[in-house]
Amino acid sequence: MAKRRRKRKSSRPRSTRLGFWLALLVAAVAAAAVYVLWLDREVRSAFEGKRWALPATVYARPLELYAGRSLRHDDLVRELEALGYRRSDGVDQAGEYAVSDSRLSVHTRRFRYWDGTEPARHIQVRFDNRGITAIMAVTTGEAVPVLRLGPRIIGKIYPEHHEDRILIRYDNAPQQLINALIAVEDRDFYQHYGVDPLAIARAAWVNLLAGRIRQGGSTLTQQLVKNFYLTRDRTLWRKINEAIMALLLESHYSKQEILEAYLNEVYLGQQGNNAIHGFGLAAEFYFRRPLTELSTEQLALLVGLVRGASYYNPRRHPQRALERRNLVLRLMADQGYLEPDAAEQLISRPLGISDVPGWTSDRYPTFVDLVRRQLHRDYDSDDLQNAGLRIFTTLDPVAQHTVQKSLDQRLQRLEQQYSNTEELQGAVILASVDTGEIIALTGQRGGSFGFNRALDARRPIGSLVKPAVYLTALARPEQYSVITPIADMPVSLPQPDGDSWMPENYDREFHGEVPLYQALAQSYNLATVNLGLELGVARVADTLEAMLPGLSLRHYPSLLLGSVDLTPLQVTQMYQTIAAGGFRTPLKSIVAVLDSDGEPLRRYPLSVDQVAPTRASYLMTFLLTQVVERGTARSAAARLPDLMPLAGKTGTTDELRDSWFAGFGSDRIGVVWIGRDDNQPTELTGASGALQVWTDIMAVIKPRPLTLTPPDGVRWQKVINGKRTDEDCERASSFPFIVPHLPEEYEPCHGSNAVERLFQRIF
Amino acid sequence: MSEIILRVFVSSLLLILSACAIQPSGTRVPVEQRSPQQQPSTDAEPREKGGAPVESRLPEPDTEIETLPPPGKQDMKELEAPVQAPPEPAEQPQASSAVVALLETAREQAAAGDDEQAAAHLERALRIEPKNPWLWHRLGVLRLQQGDYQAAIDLANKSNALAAGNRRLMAGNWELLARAYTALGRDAEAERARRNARELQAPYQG
Repeated sequence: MAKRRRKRKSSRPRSTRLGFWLALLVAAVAAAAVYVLWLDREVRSAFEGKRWALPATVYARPLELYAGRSLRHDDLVRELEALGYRRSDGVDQAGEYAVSDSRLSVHTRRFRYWDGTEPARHIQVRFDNRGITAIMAVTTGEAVPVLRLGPRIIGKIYPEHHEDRILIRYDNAPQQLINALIAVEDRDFYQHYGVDPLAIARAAWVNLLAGRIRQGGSTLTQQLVKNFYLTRDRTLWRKINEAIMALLLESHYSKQEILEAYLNEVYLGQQGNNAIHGFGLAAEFYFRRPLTELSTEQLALLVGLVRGASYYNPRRHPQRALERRNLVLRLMADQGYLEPDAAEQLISRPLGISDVPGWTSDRYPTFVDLVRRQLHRDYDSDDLQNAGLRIFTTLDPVAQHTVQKSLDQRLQRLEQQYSNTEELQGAVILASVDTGEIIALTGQRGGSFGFNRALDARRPIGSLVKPAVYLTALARPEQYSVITPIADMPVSLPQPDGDSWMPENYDREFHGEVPLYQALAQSYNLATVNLGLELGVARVADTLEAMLPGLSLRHYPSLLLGSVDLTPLQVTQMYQTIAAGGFRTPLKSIVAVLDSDGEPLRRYPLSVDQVAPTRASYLMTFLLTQVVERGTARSAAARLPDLMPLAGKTGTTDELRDSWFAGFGSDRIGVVWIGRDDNQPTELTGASGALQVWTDIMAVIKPRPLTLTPPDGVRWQKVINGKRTDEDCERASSFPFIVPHLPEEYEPCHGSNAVERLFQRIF
Repeated sequence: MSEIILRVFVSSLLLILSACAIQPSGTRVPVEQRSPQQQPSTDAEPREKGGAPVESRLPEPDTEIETLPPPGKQDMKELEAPVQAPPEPAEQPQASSAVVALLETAREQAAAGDDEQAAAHLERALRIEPKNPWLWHRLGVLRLQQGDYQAAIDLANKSNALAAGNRRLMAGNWELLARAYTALGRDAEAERARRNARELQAPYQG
């Protein structure tokens, strides 16, 4: 049967058989053409539509340099080191600096800010023991009034697939990087059309001799295609696809475009969860410097990583990496990209890898958390994770370091000092008084990020509320001055449930009539409640709500003693308003956002809102200086004598569950909370706990002391027994008053005897 | 003393630079640099000088550093020690040339219509000298020009709160307030602000 059929077939006319094969061929060609066309569309749409997934980069504040700044020689060196500047003898290129006795020579890097580009400059900075005395341009000798160093990176917001890269343009890529890449990976790159049969043959020969895969014949174009479009499986079909797509890619795009894509796509390492893609980021990751600043042997190392970033990882396998780098250098010399002598010299150099990656993630988790929350209000997640936004924040890494260290060390000491105190937690916020910029923030002790107490711990604020009571009083200068007597006498208020509310002083005593400033300095509860009831709880609540928009308080008398739950961030806003003379400046952590090309997207401008009268706020600040000078926070005055006057208030809640301190100088405000996550007692008052952390921090930060220059309409007056007295009276106190509400009565300081007066004046 | 002279000098420089700062009508922006002695004093007015004498400091309170006696149990002598008026401001490093340069850049940018760039430079200057009332005034003027009248009012008030004794600047701030209130249709407040500006321009009677 079969035989017959075959015979029958073979007996068909030749022309028919040929037609069949022709038809088949046409069909095959047509199918192939359709397939290639389809691939072509894929290649083009993917290449042109390729939107590099770029994480958002979060920057710290840039360091401003100007004559008169109290920044020491060592401080600047530390900042330069943190920015990856290289110390050298001759300062030839951006990113280098040189040191001599009282001078620093720095070649700064160009950097694009919201308000313009800071050019690369070669400057000389001179110092004395207080700080910077002069900054000069080295080439012209002219004074440079002010300049900014580039900001440190403090965090990134990653795409969901955890790719990280810094985009580079072909024009900005160092020539030796491209030379090295071509020498090692694809020596005929500029000649071939996407595939290189010669290279494949060469590789096949080498592999045959070795008996295993030692060399690949893929061109750079093929490698790019593989990374771009294809899965990782090693099948023949995939190889064929790869070759076709490489040819297509070459037919549409220039060598430069293909190379640029390659430079940004190639995988070069791993940092935790995040994959390092492209040479731009790899330079920062391995050397902490921009790609353009790398030397040839450093570029050679990066090129060496293309074949196996993990196998040749220079931090883990330095010997392998060194051999690989030297191989790259030799290949470069073989192909004429390096003089043999120069190559030998480079080969003798060490790897030069930085100790730490360009930046370490999660060093400032709670601050970056605050930034991220703000951003999520203004941007959708896709833009945040993929669009390469550049986010400029207010964080001062030096202050942040001080804050975290102070909190960690003090909590540890407190746990040792107080037997029943354990598992203490804390939060600290440090901000600029007048601009409201948060310069440091932590919501936890050191360690891994969990609960951000600075933003999320709502706790009763205790006596921290009292300034709202006293400010309400002082806003009525016809009724209250800082020396108005207040009754520190028992209070009993009937409650809706039939009980009576009977608050007590911390010392459980009554102090009778006390001047208003002392009632606050000693944090007397009964005087404050009496004052607050006189004013009306509603008015006190209004004062507080004006400082904290969005807050809605119930008007219970217990509000007067701080039975209101606030976060440390809210407390900072409240005290910022007082410290800034009644002008609330919304606290902020972000200054501006740029897109991935450096174009300005959004700015977060400075704004102020007057919510308390200027003069009353000045008197309030005076009252708070008395808390530090003679009141519950006087240990700070003893520890920081050179920084006085400073102002602040302690806060302690029932059974010592929360320990608070909020305090400020002329330019800095700090708020500290200490407590336990399970809300158990801590054994700490505001003074023995939070104030100690605050003082530790201020001793390092050194805020400017308050100047207490009275605003228009406030006058200082010597007072004795509540009456005006002579200005030269030494036993009298000086108090600020709102004009014209000064004490009316006069009491002479000195006896009527003129000789006695003279005597007292002289001595 | 040299510090005061420096401050006066810098204030006058700032005044020149903020050429489009609002000046009380009838006063001209000084274009020549006068010698410091001829400048209106930026120091407190005489009556305030009398009220805030330089005093020696209190002896340091005798307290332990680590732990505190509970409130109320402290030494009564310390409680009753006289309260001292504030000393003259401690000498601070002045960054005036930096601020002047930033202000100049801001002026150029505002003139070119780049208002927010100008604002950003003023904010940089404020980071360096947050208590400098001229910078707050200048930011207020910028907001007025942009039509953000409420912001202009708040900034002028902020400048005034820091400008004690600087009659010229305060007059400028009241003028700024008058214009912002007028733009908002708050005529009574505008009139009062204008009156304040006029009073401050009148020669000081002592």
